[in-house]
Amino acid sequence: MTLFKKNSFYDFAYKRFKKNKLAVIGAAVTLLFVVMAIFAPLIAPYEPSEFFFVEGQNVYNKYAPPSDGHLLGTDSLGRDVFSRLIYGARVTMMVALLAVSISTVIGTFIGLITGYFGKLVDAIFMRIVDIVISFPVLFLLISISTIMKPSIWIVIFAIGFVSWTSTARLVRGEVLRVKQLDYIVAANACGSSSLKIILKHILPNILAPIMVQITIGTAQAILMEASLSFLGVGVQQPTPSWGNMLMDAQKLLVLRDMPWIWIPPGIVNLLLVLAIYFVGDGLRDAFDPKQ
Amino acid sequence: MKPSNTTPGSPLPSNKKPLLQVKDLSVKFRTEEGMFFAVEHISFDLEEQKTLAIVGESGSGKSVTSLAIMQLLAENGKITSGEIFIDDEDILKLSQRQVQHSILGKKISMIFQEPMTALNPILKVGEQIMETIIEHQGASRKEAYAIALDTLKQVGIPSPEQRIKQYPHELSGGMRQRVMIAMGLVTKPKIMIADEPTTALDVTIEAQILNLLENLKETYKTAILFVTHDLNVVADIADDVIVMYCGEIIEKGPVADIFETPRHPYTIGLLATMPSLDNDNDILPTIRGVVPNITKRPTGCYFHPRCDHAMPQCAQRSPAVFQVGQQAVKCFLYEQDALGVQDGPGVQDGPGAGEVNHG
Amino acid sequence: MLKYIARRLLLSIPVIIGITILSFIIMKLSPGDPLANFINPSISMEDLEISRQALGLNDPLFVQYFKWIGQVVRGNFGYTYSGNHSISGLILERLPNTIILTLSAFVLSFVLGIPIGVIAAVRKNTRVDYGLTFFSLVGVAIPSFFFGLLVIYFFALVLGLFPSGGMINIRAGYTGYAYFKDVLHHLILPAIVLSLGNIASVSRFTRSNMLDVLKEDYIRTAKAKGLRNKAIVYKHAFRNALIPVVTIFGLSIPFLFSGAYITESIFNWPGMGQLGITAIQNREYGIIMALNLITATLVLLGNLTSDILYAIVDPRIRH
Ligand SMILES: Nc1ncnc2c1ncn2[C@@H]1O[C@H](COP(=O)(O)OP(=O)(O)OP(=O)(O)O)[C@@H](O)[C@H]1O
Ligand SMILES: [Mg+2]
Repeated sequence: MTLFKKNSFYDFAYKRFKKNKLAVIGAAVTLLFVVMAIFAPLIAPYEPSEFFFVEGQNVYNKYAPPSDGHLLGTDSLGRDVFSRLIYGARVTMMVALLAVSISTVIGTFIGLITGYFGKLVDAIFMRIVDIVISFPVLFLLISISTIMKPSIWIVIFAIGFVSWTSTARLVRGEVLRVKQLDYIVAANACGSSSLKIILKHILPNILAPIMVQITIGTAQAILMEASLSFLGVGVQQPTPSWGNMLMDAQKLLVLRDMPWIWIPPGIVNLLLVLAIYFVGDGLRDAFDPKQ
Repeated sequence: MKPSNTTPGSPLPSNKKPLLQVKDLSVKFRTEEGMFFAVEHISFDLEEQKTLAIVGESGSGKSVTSLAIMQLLAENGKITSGEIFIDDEDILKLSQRQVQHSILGKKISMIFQEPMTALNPILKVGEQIMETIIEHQGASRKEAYAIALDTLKQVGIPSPEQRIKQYPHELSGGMRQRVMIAMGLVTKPKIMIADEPTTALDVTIEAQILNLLENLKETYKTAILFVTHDLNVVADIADDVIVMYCGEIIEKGPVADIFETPRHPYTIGLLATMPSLDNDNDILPTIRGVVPNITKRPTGCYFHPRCDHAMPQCAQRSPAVFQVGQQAVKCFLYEQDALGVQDGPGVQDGPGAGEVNHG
Repeated sequence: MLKYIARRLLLSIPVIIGITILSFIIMKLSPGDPLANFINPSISMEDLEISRQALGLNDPLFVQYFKWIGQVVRGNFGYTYSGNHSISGLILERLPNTIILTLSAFVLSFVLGIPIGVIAAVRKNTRVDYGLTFFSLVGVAIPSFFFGLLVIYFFALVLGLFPSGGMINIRAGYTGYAYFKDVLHHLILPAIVLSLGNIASVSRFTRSNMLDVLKEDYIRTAKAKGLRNKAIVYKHAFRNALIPVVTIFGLSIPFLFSGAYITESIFNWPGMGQLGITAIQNREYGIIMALNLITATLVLLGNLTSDILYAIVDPRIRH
């Protein structure tokens, strides 16, 4: 068996990962956002869709600049920007993680069978991949979100359905590589069933690149969700998302005079995606000893 | 009895000045698992128009030695001690620019094992030969073209006018290695390092290439440092030989002497494993045990766990180098008999060829 | 090489058919109907049912598909629900503007991305490398609409260096060279915004290729020949590292088209993306689907071109 000793491989990768400062910072920041998402109700001072009124009047307290009451001011409907930001983390992460789960399952499944069985199955599926990647991601997403009644589940499904191709290609390539290894050839010759070979021998061997892909896929899913929501076909009001919080900034007035409404959600979005990319890069370097 | 630990000097008493002199060269690598010396205390001389062979099993440090001389070690490798003299100049003291400008490709060139990967796939072979001439001799492209063409003829490439315009993948393995040789010779360097230049080729091509090297050595008056793990090749082409084990030179001397009376138990074992016509055993003998991992080398003499003549001291300290006749041997067996004694007990009651395991 | 190109062309036939089928399915699923788009909305109610019959909206699916595709290959995508506009006309009006924007961004991505990647690789593990690598990561990580808004905020609103949107200054009514200069002035910000992510990916890709190539045996050979660092890096390493970069010519096209949706809507750039956004808001499914089909075809052609280009620049495939 030339299979790496699992423990030592992951121990080694872990050691290497720990040495990578950016990756560790990325992991810490990501963790921070996860905590923020989980404990949103405890951290956020208000409900995300709570409307505020100008004191003593029956008028919404719209576009209020940051103050003690509202750390990041209020938005165009008089809701607390800070609270929406915190709850937005929840939405963003849930969408991204579920979407990535979908794309990983589909992609891994298709990659495994095309790589393992090859021939006609491979030819057919690879053409399907070619077809799907010919449509710019956002176009497909927009099509799906406009056909269906927009909801958070449609967004999740759409992103998951659109982004499985890179996982499929990656897994297929890895399977083709791993298939050449001696012990797989041997297992094949010994008449082990295909399913058993795939699950017992191939899958554990390609776990590392899949993990990297999941990480990077999560970052990309966050960006996709944000773009969709910004364009109005993603997460719908009143549910807060870091993307739809920026919609108002398309009005010149908001863009120029009310930076508290659009800069904070943009910044947290950038920070989280950047942090996840750092983790992804760190994982890749840690798993790939040739660097 | 004056053993010197590091520099036993030239095994051949000679009045000629060596072209290339390596003194006490050590190379250290830094890896994830830690630091280790890939080669230690390497010393040897290469004289004008001689062929010096380095033999040893895989991992013994042959390539590291050659690459260290060329200062082409991987990023994680470092020369920690030693001097390398070419024309009385310690090239380790030169700047990178000086080495590029006046040493590499000009005084010393190198041929690599894999002619497929060692040539740039997207440049025509002519271009790859010409650029060396242009760089080192300031020739015009036209002059360089003529020289390149001529050299391709010299290395026996048929219809060189066409070949010169082709890409490496359009040539066979043997042709590519000839191109590599042409590339190495085109500036007429006095020293050429050939790191297993025939390992990737099949036997008939190998013979042709060795023949070619022999002839070119005469025409170009080049000295060759020839790295190989094939003792037959050593017997064919070398004047002197260095035997390496675990990053150390354990024996060196003239080829005739070493093949006649190998001294170090490892050399003796190695020669016994050599397939030859008068060895009609179907099963070749092997040396028992395996080469230790470079990071987990034994204490004392690195060979002692595999040695049939190991003595208590062998496990404790590393033996010095002893001069036995023309040969220099790093082994305690010769402690008593060094210094001018021609036929030590090593030959009669010392380790003999019959005493290696058959397996 | 001709064989390679022929094979590549052959392989794209099922893909282009698949693209049209997928587009058709999406349209069938959407509340609009692909064939319904061909009904001129200004006709009277009585004529509507006749039109439906004539268009074969009650025909079997595959017949509908062939009818539809028959129109599409003639460049006819039908009409908009509101206002009786020909969809192909609307798109044709916008297409050149989108091409101006995406092409500029395309050029920018490679003109900036490749040198950045090379410098980072050559200066590996120095501050320059870390700086450039960090910049590239921020480039991939920043949401393009956020970057776009930031750019408008600083360069147009705060500093006033560039217009905040649009493609021309309509009131000025420039012609000739002045017109060209005006468009260029409007183009700079959106082109930068659109290309940022691509610059970042190109430079990351170039850097890692370059590092791989620098480890190759033939680089060691080049060093052994005593060549100058410049020759080693640019003649031997760079050229080899550049070959795979050609493949992302193709990959960056869908990326840029996606980006154009957002960039055009933020900058009010009168292109296909902006048309698409308006179409989403007005539920003009016909337009969205036509845009899908057209861009998918463009992307396919782009990929084809970059594969062929790859064959041309790599002598190993060329022969
Ligand atoms: N860049 C490197 N990093 C770490 N270790 C290295 C490196 N290069 C060589 N080594 C180690 O140094 C030792 C000597 O290697 P070297 O390549 O010189 O062997 P060799 O005698 O040429 O063997 P072969 O016959 O297989 O070519 C080996 O154990 C090898 O693993
Ligand atoms: Mg070697």
